[in-house]
Amino acid sequence: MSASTQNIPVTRRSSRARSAATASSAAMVVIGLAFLVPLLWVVLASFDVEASLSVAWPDSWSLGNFSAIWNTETTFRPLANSLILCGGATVVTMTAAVLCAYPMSRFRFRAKRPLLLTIIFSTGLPITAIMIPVYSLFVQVNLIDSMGGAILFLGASSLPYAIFLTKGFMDGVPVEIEESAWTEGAGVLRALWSVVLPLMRSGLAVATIFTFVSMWGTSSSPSCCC
Amino acid sequence: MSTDAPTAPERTAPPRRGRSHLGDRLTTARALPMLPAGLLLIGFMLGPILYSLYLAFTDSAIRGDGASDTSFVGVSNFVDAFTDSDFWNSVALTLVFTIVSAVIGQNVLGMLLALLMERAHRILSFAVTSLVIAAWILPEVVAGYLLYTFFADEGSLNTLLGAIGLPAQDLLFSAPILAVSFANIWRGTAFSMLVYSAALSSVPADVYESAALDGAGPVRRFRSVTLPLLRPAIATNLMLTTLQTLSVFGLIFIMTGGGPARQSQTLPLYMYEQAFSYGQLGYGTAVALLLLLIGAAASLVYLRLLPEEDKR
Repeated sequence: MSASTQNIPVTRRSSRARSAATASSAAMVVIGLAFLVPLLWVVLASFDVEASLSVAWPDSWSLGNFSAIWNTETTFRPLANSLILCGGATVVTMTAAVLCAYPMSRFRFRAKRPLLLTIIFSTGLPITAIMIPVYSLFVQVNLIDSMGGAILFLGASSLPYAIFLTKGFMDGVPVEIEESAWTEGAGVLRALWSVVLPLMRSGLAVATIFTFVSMWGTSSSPSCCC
Repeated sequence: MSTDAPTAPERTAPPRRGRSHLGDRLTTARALPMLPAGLLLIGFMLGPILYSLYLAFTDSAIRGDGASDTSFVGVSNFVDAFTDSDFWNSVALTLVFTIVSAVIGQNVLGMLLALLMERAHRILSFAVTSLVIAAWILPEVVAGYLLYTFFADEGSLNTLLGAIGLPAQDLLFSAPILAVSFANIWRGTAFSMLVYSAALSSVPADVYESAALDGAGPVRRFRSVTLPLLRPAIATNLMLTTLQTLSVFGLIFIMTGGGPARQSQTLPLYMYEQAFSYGQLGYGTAVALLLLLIGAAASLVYLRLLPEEDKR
């Protein structure tokens, strides 16, 4: 530990800065360990023939656990389902979000502020709370057990935050570049596709990854409509 | 979506520079791209919310009387909720869970990590932040299972405590709400960490330098320079983590299932039990509506705290 702190590139070479760096590194190690242990358990236990609930170095390593689940029934079909569900919903969300954010970022209209406030407001609503009405609605319109319905619901539920993020990144793209596209006669969609989107690629990537990861992490929405 | 076409012609003159004059007025054709998002939100957010307003006042059920013919029962679902001690138990637990895990845990730890990241060894910071983010992107179900084994009787935590000579804990039984709160800190800190480290990196270094020249120590600099500058980020992050935590369901469901004896049954779990285990959709929706109202109230506070430029 102390050996690794020796070669910090200290900008201000005072002993005080160095001791602060050492203390920070030590604190980092402690916090890191707290985050590491549960993760380490799952990795080690998956290779262990006699895994227990506690983190431990396996006495005998084996790939047996993996070969046991390496089939369509337990792994591949659920995995494919997850990919279709989350991937589909991410495409739905990001397409709708970009299309919705563009006019909101570029044009003026009186309802803009209330509309944006509504969107921010709905990012805060607990999705868990509309689980039951969505379930009953899906039963009534016969969308239960349908991948399409689940994709649309999952897509819609992360849409407000995606619009908010996308609009924020879009506001960062200077409007002057687009103005010349407009003078050249490009329409709204054309300007969006060939000028704005390439310029906000990194922001778009952030929003897309964030959307996908948050969908990949939830279990409640699919469990209510599939 | 109002379009205000009449005054458009004279206003479409070359847009002035500056943030408040981005582009022209919105026309119907220009608003058209907003349609898919609008339809999705109306169909899958507004629709269910309105429907839940109706459902909460009925005796709708999955089986039994309310299933075949649903009838209007007025406010009796809400009266039932307010007189049910299990309901109040879950409200209290939701508050404890939110305050311990989001308001205190994730925010303080996230801020600490963001501050440490700037000072600690670069490779070490990278490794630790990767771990924290890994805990965050793990699916809820996996995180719940991992943390269950961590806190379990023969789990990692007791092994570690035993190794350094401390008595074993049984948080999952003695204080399950603390166990799930810690689990939520483990899972959610990455978000606060990322928000705070982004906010910290936008604070210019010379502010600190001049404060240091004036003789301010590290604690003083944090209190009088960092905190005021980060106030908007802190407010935003506090609200966002609160809102996310209010609706946490899967993590608790996997770890404890709300038990033992409802000791970790927060509102979403109570709602789920009433609606899907007991089949009382109407009553469950009434509880959901109350949860929605709490979320809406928190969301309104969040709106007020948000910096003005985000709302334009």
